[in-house]
Parts: sequence; C-alpha cells; structure tokens
Amino acid sequence: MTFLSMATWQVWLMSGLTTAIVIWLFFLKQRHPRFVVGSLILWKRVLENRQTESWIERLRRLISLLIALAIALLMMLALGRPLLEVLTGSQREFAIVLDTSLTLAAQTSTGSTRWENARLHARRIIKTASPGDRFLIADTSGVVVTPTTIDPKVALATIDKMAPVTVSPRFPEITTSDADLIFISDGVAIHDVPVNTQSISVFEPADNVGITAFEVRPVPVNPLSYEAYLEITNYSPQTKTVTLEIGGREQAKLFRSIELDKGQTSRQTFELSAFDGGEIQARILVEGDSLLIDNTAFAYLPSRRRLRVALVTDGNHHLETLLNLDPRVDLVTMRPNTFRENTDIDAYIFDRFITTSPPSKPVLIFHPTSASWASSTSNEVEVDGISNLNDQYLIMRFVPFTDLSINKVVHLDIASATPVAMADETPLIVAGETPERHVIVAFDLNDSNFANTLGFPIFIRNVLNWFTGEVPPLYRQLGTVTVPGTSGYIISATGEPVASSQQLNSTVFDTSTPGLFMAITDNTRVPVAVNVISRKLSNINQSNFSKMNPSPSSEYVPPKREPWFYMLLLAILLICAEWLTYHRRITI
Amino acid sequence: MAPESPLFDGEFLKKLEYLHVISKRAFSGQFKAERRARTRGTGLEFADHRAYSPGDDFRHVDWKAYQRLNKLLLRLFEEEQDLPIFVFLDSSRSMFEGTPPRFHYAQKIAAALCYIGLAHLDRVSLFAYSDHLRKELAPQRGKGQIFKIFKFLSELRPEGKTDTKEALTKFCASRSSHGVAVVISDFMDPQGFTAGLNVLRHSHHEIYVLHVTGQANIPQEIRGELKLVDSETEVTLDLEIKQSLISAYQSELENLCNDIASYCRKYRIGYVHTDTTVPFEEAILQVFRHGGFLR
Repeated sequence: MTFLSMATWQVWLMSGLTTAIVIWLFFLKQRHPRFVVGSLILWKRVLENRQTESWIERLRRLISLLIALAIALLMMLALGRPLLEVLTGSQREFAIVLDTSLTLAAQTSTGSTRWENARLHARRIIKTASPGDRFLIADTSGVVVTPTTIDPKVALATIDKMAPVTVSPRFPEITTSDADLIFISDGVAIHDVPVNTQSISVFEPADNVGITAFEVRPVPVNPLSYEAYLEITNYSPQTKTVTLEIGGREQAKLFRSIELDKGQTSRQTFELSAFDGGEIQARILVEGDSLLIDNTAFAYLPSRRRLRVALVTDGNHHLETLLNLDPRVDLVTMRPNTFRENTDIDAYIFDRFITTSPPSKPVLIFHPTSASWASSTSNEVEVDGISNLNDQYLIMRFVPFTDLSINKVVHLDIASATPVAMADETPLIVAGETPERHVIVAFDLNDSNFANTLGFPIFIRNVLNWFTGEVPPLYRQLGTVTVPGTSGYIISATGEPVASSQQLNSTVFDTSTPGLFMAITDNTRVPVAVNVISRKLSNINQSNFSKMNPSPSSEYVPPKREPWFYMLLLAILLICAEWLTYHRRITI
Repeated sequence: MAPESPLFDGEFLKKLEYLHVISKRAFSGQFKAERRARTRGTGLEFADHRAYSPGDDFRHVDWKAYQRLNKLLLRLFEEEQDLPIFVFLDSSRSMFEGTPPRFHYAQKIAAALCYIGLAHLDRVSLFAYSDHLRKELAPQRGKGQIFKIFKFLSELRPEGKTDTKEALTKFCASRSSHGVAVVISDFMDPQGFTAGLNVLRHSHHEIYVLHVTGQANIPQEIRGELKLVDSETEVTLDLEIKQSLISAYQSELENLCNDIASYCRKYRIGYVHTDTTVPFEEAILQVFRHGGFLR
C-alpha cells in the first residue's frame, strides 16, 4: 500500500495513535450521575441473574469497539490517500498529446468537429484511468506541456482549455521515458511521431474548399489600379460548386461562381477599381464545407491618391529619376533660391538645402546645412558604413544597407529626434515627429553609394508612406500575431481595442478568427491582415490515418475514485450502522 | 426527618379505636385489661375447677360441687390482662430513601398500631432498630400515651445499616416476656430477612411482618447510565438502567415479597405487604384487616 498525501511511516504512526486513542476513549469510564437508592441488594441480584448474558454483553462491547476502531482507522487512512494495487492496479503514467492543428476544426459526419472527438478520447482515457495514474498533457502547438499530475481534474481542465490553433504544429518532446505516449490526431499536420506511440485517429474524410492565396496588388500596367488575386483549391473528394465573394466594408460586393473538380485549384482576379481603400474581404460559399475558417481571407486596399512631392535641389539625378518613375508621386522640382512653400504640396525633399524654419509639411532632408530646428551643424565627420540600424522603425523596414559606403556626414544633434541608423556614435539618419514629420539623412547622396543600392527606392517609398501615414499592410497567419514596433496598440476593423502586449520591440496579440486589424505604432496605422492561408492546413484529407477510431460516447462516465472515497463512504455507513444499532440497543 | 404533624386527624383516630390487634395466642400480661391471659385469675368468666389446696381462698371453693362430689374444688376464672405488643420499626438509612420515604409511611403505620394497642389497654413497646436496637420506648398503656409515641417517632433519624438479626437477638436476650411482635421494615437486610424473624420465632413471640416497599414505581430519573449509591453502605454500582433492567428489578422485588410471604406462611406468621403508593388509611383499614393483623 502506498500513500499519496503522507509518507507511509506517518500514516502507520497516525493509525497506531488513532487506535490507541480510540481504545482509550472506549474504555474511559464516564462519570455517571450519582443516584442514591435505599439498598443495592436487589440491583446486585438483578446483575447476578444477568451474568448469564455477560458473554453477549462482552460480544456487544467487542463489536462496538471494533466498529469504533474501523471508523477511526478508515478515516485516518483516508487522509493518507492510500493506493492499493489489489484494487487500483499498478500506477501508470500517460502522456497524452493532443493535435491542436487547425485541421482538427473540421467537422465530421456526426456534426462534431475532429477536435471535439479528440477531446472526448482524451477525457475518456483520463476518466477510465486508475486512481493514482499520472497524466501529462501536451499539444502540438508548443503552448501546453503540463507537468505530470496525479489529479485527473487538473488534466481535464487543461484539456478543456485547449483549442485548435494555427501555430505550425510539431510533436512535443516528452521527457518521461516510462510514460504511455498517446497521440490523438487526425494525422494531417503531423506525420512523424515517436515510435511506441499509441495513435488515436479522429480522422474522417471531409469536404473542404479553401482559400489558399489572397492578395490585393497593383496592376502592373497601371500602378494606381489594384486587383485582388484569389486562389481557391478544392480538397474535397468530389466536385464542388463555389461562389466567390469579394467586397469591402459597407461596399458593394463582387460575386463569381465556379466549379472545382476534386483537387483542382482555381486562380481568380478581381478588378478593384470600384472599391475605395481599406478592408477587402474574400469569401467562398460552398455547400457541405467542413472547415469554415479557411473560407474567409482579408487584405488591405491602399488609397489610390497621388502624392505631390516638391524636390528642392540644385540637381540630383538619382532623386529626380526615382521620383519621376514612381506612379504614385506627382513631382515638382524647385531650385533652392526659388523655394517657396506651397499649400498644394504634400511633402518636401530637400537635397543639400534647409530652410531657416521648419516647413509646414513633412520633409526629407539629405545632407542638411546648419539649421537649429533640424539639429544639424556644419561640422562634417568621416564615417565607415552603418554600424547600427533600427529596422523596427517604419522608414527602415526592409531597407538593405549591406553595401552602403559613405565618405562624410554632417553632425546631427539627436536630442530632439530618433536616430534610426548610426555609424558608431555618429547618427546617419534621424527621424522626428515635431514640428512636422521629418527625416534627416546626414550624408550627401553624391558622397555615398546609397542612391545606387537596392535599399534606396525602398527607403524613399517608406519615407513617403510614413509622411502620408499610409504604410503597406502586414499579412499574418491566424494565432499569435506579432507586429513590429513597441508602444503600440491594436484595434479591430470596427475600431474596438484588441488585447495586446509588448514583447521585444514588437506588439503581440492573439486572434482566433481571420480579420483586418490596425496596429497603431509610432503614430502610424499599420494594417494587419490575419488569415488562414495554408495549402497544408486546408488539405484536411491528406492524413496518414486511414480511418477513425470509434468515437467514444459522450455519455457520462463516472470517474474512478481513489480508495479514500470508498473508505470515507464505508466510515459513514459504519457510523450510521453504529447509530442505528446503538439506539436499538444492539451495541453499547 | 420530622414526621408530618399531626400524624392523624381525630376522625381517623376514632376509626382506629374500633380496631384490635389480633392475637391468636394468649400471653401473660402485667395488668388487668381486656385480653384473655394464660393464667387463671379473678375475672368474671368461669374457666375451670381444680382441687383445693391449703392456702387457697375459701371464697372460690365451689360448695355445690362439694355437696355433690364430697370434694373440695376451687372455681377458676379467666384472667384478662393486657397484651404485650412490641413494635419494631426499621430506621436504617434504606428506609429513608424513596419518594415518599418508606420511613414516613412506616412511621404512620407504627403510630397507628400503637394507638390501636393503647386504645385497648395493651402494653405497647416501641423499638427503633437498624443494625442494633437504637432506641426504645418503654411499655405504654392507655390512649394518653400516644403523644409519647408520636414524640418518640418524630425524633427518629436515619442511621446505620439494616441488621435485623442483631437487633432482635439483643431484644430477645434482654427480655423474657413474650407478646405480639410487629416488625415494620423494608427487609433490605444483607443477612436476609429470615435470620431476624427466626430469632423472634424461636423466642415464642407472635410475629406480624409489615413489609413496606416504596419502589413499585421506579422514578423516571432512574434511567440511563447512573452510579447507584447504597444509602446504607455507600457502595456504588455503575449501571446502564434500561427498561429491561427495571423490569428485572421489579421482578426481584416481587420475588423478595414472595419469599417473605412464603416464609411467613410456613411459620404461620402474619404477613402484610404494603407499598407507599397505597394510601395510608386504606392500608390500615383494609389491607391490614384483610391480612389478619387487625379486626
């Protein structure tokens, strides 16, 4: 016999003490009330005549003592939570790994999802386990790996909290070597499982047509025109008729109906000139589809307004060429001596020029001369390439600086601006918000090869996007979403705040449904389109299990209880019996 | 423990005057009274003749018989003397227990019997005993002495254990006269009731046993687990008193009564059993009469 809540010696010691106390209490003479009678002669005769019944009395006393002892010992031993191998069998350890791939969200023919069946299997294993068996619960998302617990309730509660997620699944590392490893899965996302793993299949062939690609992209011939690219694949065992629906929030929708054979992929494009900027939702309507989560996808349609940019330069071939080639830019070139602010201009680019007071519109300045508002000086220092880059900053995102070569830079005071690129202690590029958004590049494009690098047009595009407050959308998979930039918060497409946290220069939030979110970071609204777009996940019939294990019935299974429960029950019954027999004068 | 005062009212005393203590045998009295004595004497009722012997009173010579028989015969007359009545009242501690205490009941009985005796000019002696003769009231005659009886009885206090044999042995050893001996007791005698009664029996007293019990109804408080204390010996007994035990106790009490009754029958001893639950007047006027003790 082993005990769960006490050491064995403690239980036996306590049992011994209990026995001693019960016997002592049993034989403890109660101080009876005195009653004076004339004579005890007759009472003694009565007792003498009753001596013949004394063995019955002794038996009754013995029975009473035994019942009292049994009650006390049962309660005492119950406190120790004993385990009797005779009753409960030897203790086992179960490591139950539940596949939380998104494919488990597929519905089966019974109406329940594969996940619900998987959970039923897991619950049944726990409930039918013997008392004293230990459980380790893990999932394939890497989120849940519980310590081994002996308490079935803890294991069941853990299972109840789990749900299919979009995290790339992998089989967890189970370190307990002597555990019975049980893997409950549909066999779609995970194929490699350790040997000696008992797999329980919840796979059942199901119909699914899913969106496997969705993008809003400019039309090559006209960069200000956008089209939606949609890829749909039929993973059902039979041909499916699919209705495609493309629409924006509170805008008219485009419909198209197509027929897809088994395994066929259809690629569709939708011209979006009828839509304003903002959220674009693609939806497919299929009869009998078992996985609905991949039937919807979101994207962001940028604004099609052209940006009027004034370039103030004595002549810069690189800048002029780049800005003239950008279809989204309406360029106005000015000489520094003729510069005058114009209210029609959306943004300025100063090349080796700076005004005495800050312009009223955002400005990008290359190699500024001395100006107090821009914290620039006329001192020049020599540098040797970029040593420190803040690529979390929007204007530096995706800008490669690997081949950058710079000769000289002006010295910038970084007290009032944020350096986003440094050469040792020398700021190369700084960005500031006041009085208007401005980016200052400390070097002359002619003194560096920056204009010849791949990063130059990306940098210019990033800066102009930042000036207009419109940045390219981020596309993320469902689940835990990470957005670059700290001190930000997330709102849904309807403007409702979404719970998020700051982690390592990023803003992180969780979502279980596809949607378009806005990450407000550094005073910039970054659209974040969260979708389930995965050919692997949508292909819910590509299982390495041929058939499903019989699904356990959902009827109530009374959990097996530890012996202490029955011991307490027996003690209560004995107390009742003792009470009954005492009042019936059977026991004393 | 003072007796209730007055013990009897006047009406009851009048009723008592009509009663007599029955004596089946004739005993020698000391004074002239209403009882036929064993001796021949100067009474009015002719009893027998006997031969004249010198010194006899000539006035009792039956001259008519002399004429007929030519013998001098003397006429003998019944002698009517008083009857010696010895009342033994158990005043051990056990008599003072019970509700009401048996002693109060026995006290009244003793007083009533004494009054009956006194009213008929019998010579009544009263003894209080426990394990010895504790107190004794010298023989009294005449109704006027009843107050001495009352005083004697009222001054009795519970004391000692019951030892009837010891007490009566002492009594018999100190007196040669015989008479009616009335023993009023609960007979809770560790030595048994027979030893004491045997002493009286062997001393040729006419014995009446008045057995007073007071436990026909066991008080309700004698239930459950109790430490019973013997009022005489202070010996204790732990008991769980249940109905079965009560029944057994009552059965034992009945056995005791039966034993005493059969003993008395065997030796032609008058036996009257009464309980404190029986109204006192009923006990005197009916129970004792039916028991052959009074008429």
